[in-house]
Amino acid sequence: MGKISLEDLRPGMILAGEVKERSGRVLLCAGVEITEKHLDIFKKWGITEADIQGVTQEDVTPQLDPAVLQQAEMEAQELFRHTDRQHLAVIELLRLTTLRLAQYESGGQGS
Amino acid sequence: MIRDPGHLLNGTVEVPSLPMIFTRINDAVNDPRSSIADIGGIISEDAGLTARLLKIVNSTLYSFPSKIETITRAVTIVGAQQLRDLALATSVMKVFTGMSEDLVNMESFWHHSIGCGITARILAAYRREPNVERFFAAGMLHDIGRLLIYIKMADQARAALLRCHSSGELLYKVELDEFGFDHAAVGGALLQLWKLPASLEEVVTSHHNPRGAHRYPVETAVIHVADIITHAMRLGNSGERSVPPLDAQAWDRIGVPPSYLSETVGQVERQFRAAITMIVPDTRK
Repeated sequence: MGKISLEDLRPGMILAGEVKERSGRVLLCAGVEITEKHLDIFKKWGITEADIQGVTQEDVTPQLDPAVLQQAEMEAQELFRHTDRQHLAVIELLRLTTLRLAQYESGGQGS
Repeated sequence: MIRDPGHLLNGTVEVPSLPMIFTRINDAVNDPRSSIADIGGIISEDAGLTARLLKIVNSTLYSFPSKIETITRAVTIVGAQQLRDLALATSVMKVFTGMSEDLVNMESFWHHSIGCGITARILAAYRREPNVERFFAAGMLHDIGRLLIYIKMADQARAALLRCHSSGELLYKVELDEFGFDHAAVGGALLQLWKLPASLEEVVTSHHNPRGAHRYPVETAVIHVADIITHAMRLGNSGERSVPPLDAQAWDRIGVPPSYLSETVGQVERQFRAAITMIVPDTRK
């Protein structure tokens, strides 16, 4: 089980933990199967991630050529060299930047 | 040594001024006696601005259920202050048209500004801020001091850019070191000269030093973070070549979980191109 970002959640996934909105109110309980409607509700309520049974974020991240990914990782590290790369937000932004660069390199979407 | 950039606002080279129409819109919005029709009437005098604003309020940025056909209706639905801030955000590019592109690629500069504005708007919406357009305008304006530096002290600016190029230092720190002030201070001084609200001025002045913002710390923190995200996404460029450092306190202040960054980046990606076609005046056709 692991935290999966909203964009990677799919109908049919089973919750491993409660989904709470920001004030702490429980929207869905563990064990519930996610439906399309739930995803809409998550978006509207600002839910950004959920605990899913049997899946980790690595599983749902699209597979990219390791060489391309490594090149992208190097470029991203260079771009972030003045930042504190231990900070949780920086780590996440660095991960997203690496993915974007790699997708762009693989001819995917991106700008 | 820290110096006051005030002298950049004087001198023989003229400092660009905001379009007259914006000042009139601003006065009308701030005047409790003016009606929605008054504000709509002033905006309608500028056909270009009217078309731009209608395009924006009818875009995916808002996704209202029905089409907004008139400016008066837009003022009613979107709000007078919001429309004023949108007018500011979309008018400021015009102020600097015809500028020498020796030191800066203007298209890239405005792409960075629009990217930061869109990102700030998304973060503000997440925080349920009442006027997200204020954040959009702040993002559009945050690096504007650079343009004044390029106009007023081109040689020194070139030297600073070259130094960054070879040393890999951060440009805003080199500015501080070489000139005694950075583009953020210059931008703040320019907004003050333009008589823009103190909130915008403080946000622009402190966007690299969010701890220095005492009156509008949240607004400043949002622009600080939005600027960093825009750099990470490499949407345009205003001179800085790497991602500026994140102030941990500013990050905590905006209250956005790191896991929301992926949603933010996705939304920025979706809105960025649309925003550019709506805001950048079509000069090439």
